[in-house]
Amino acid sequence: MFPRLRRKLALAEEAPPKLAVQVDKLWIRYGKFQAVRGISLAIPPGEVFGFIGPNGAGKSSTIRVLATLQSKFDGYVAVNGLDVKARPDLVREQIGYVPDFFGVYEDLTAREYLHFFAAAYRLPYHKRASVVDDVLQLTDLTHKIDSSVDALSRGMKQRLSLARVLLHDPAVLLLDEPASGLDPRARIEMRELLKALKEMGKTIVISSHILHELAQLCTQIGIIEAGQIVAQGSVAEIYKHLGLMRIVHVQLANDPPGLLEHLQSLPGVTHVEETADRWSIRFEEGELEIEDLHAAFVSQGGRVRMFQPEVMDMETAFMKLTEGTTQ
Amino acid sequence: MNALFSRFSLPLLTKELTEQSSRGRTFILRTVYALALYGVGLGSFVNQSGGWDNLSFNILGTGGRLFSAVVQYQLAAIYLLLPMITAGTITSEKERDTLGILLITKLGPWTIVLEKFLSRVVPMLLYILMALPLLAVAYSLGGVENGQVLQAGVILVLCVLQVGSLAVLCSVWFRTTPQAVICTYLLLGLMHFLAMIFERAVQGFPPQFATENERVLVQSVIALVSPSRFLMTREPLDPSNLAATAGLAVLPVFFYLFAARLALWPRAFLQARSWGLTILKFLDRFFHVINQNAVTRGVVLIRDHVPLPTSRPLAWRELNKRSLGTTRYLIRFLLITEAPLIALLLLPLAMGDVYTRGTYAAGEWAMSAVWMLAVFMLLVQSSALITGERARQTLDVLLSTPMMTRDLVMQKMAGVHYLIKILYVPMATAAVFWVFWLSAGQHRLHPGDQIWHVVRMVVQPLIYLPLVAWGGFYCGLKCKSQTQAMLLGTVIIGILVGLPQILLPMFHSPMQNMNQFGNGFVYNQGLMRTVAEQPIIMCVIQLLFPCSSYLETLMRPRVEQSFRVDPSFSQVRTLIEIVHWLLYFMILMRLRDYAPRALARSTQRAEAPLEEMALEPA
Repeated sequence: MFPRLRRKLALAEEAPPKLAVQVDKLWIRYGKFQAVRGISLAIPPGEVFGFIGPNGAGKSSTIRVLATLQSKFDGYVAVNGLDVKARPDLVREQIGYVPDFFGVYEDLTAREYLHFFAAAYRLPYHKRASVVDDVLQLTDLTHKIDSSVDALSRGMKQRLSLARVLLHDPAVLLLDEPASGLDPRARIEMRELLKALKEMGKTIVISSHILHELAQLCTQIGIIEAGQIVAQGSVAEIYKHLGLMRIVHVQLANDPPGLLEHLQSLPGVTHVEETADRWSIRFEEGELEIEDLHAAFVSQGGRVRMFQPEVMDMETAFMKLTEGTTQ
Repeated sequence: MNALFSRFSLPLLTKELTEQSSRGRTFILRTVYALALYGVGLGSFVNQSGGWDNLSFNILGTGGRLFSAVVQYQLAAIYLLLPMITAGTITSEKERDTLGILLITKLGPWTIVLEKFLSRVVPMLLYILMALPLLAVAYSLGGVENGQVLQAGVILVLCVLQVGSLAVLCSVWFRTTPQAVICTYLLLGLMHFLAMIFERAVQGFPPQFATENERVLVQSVIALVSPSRFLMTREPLDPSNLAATAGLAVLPVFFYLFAARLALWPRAFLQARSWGLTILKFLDRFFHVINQNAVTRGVVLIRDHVPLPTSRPLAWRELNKRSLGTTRYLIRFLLITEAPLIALLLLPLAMGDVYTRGTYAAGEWAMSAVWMLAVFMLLVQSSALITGERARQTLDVLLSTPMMTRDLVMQKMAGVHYLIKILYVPMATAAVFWVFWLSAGQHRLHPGDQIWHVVRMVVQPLIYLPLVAWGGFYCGLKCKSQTQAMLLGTVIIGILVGLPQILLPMFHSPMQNMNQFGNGFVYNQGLMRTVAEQPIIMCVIQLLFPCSSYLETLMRPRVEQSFRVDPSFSQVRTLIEIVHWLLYFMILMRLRDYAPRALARSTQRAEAPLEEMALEPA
């Protein structure tokens, strides 16, 4: 019974899972200027992909293509298996796009603004009120529902923009510099919100200049320069690829004899610096695990008051991979 | 020496002139200006000489008309172009948030105001100089006195300085360029009107002065606000009187620039505010006060209630949130437009001036005013639709929603379509009076023509108003800012309306008794001769340009019997007018179709029909 359906189901089981975002040899030209030169990306569902690059590298152009805003480009671009060129209308149902500016109507209240976009996303009328309540709750803006958008702070406006793109529950979020211009508190709130979205299983493509935040949030990083991808992979893979050093800061309550020599003799340790209140140990992560370093301190009789591995130095990776060239 | 050079290096002026010269539109504007100027000159010359085949020595001594045509053209250009290019000089800095940066440099407010003023005045003076070869031809033909040349030169320069300085003051005063441009035009119109009233009140019509001194005194006072009115005088002032008058006329320039310098700091960091909304809120208060009376007792017919959007969010916003889209404000606009319009139309009747020139003039003024108002409002509204989204940075957000591009565009136009419907009311009011005048009195038309006029009154707004709206929308799509879009729209409309005025004189019959360019009656007689003698040219002009039929309507009742159009030509003209409307209707349809594509968004080849997207509220 239903042989055709069975065959389809069997094929679906055998087929590899669809990529949330697939970009294959993307070229974007503005006249003679080549903004993007043959980049390829493959982002599985549920990933948080960080797009890093200097100004003018082609990040926003790539995101605009994914958001179906760029009609002229070469190459294959698909969102959830849907070709952006062939089915832009269906792609728009799958994406939520937050540009690098707020994009809000300041003559509307937050409620009107969200209802406006609920209508634009063609949400059934009877569901709109509850969906608006839900997204406002998620973005912690419920108390501002009847406030004029004009009266909201920058951070709130940005969260309202995020609330907007969540209205139709898209599978893929395209965030172009969502934290730019925000104060530290608003940035932290934004980061927490993105973490919550990541836990909800959304695929997020995010470009940002705040590199250490990307390192904390992203499962994959793509570094783009002059329209080309110069490195791509997980944060650890990129560090490994570059052979970057790891730094751990340690504060001890005592000063065991011979500790310094012991640390210097550990494999992978390249430099131990003793300052007034702490030790800074620089080592290659591939040769020495952080846990083993801690064990070395304890085994030499060190009473550890503070053991703080430095956050992966994304800025260093970025500087090492890029040459500061813009087109 | 270096210190002296650096002190007078005029960096802002250099930057402005460099910036202007590198812009493509500067070249386009200069080329169009030069072509039009030389077109006017050529047309006037050919007309004066009696056509290409009749060039002879008879033309000697007839340079006055060419001279007058060129000077009047330049005067019109000063009043039309200069406010547009100058009123944005400071507001553009405000819009880009760069005025603050300029103010904290060592330039100082005086330097900023003066260099900005010069940066616009210098190119305009160059435009004026462009006419020198034509003026030389006119002078060589004879019939132009030295005093006339001197007076025309002084007046043109004075006009440039006055209009430029006033535009700079408006630019300093207002927050946005459209506000500054509109206000400059309004002030210029008001000053011109006051000068005209003063002139008529003091000297009568035609002008009569007891002494030369009295004449100089009156003209000096007029020159304070409107030096262009000097050109209406037949006799030039002698050099000493001209110098005295010009010296007095320069005073407003200093005043405007001084006021601009004083206002520069206080008005540098204004908050963006909707000017239209401020006026409408003032109207709110006004209507609220007059509503509190014994008869109406504050009853409110249309209450403010903004429901949440259902299926057409953009149309909802355009009709509920844009000030000129809401029913309440549109009705108020209608009331404040209709009342003075009807008063203007009824004024001659009240004065017992029925079926005469007074009624005709009132109808003519009313029709022109209503058309200008309608075109202006539609251009402002429609050009802001996309440029406003761009300025607010919401266009990309909208385009990334699943709304179909065509639906998006049609929803954006909802408010403008509503405005068009409202504009039909004053237009119909003026048209009713117009038709009434044309069907009665000593200048009435033939019955067949009367019907045709009614048809024309109905069809023209139905085609031209949506065309202006869609044209404005399209300009907004193509331009970065609303100012640019409005400028582009105005230039296109100006070309369409003004080109026949330039072309028609080129085909005029020689008019032996026409000494003064701009004499409407003689000019129109000339047009009618052209209609009668060169029907093909008239057909082509009527086919291509929207105003030609209107022109003909204007002149028809005035002409003498000897110049009446051949009835057979009248039928051909009717046919051509229908073809013209069809042509413009096709352009309108084309614009409607093309506008969604011009948004340059990834679009699926076959878009779903609009019905599929309509969502009904629960």
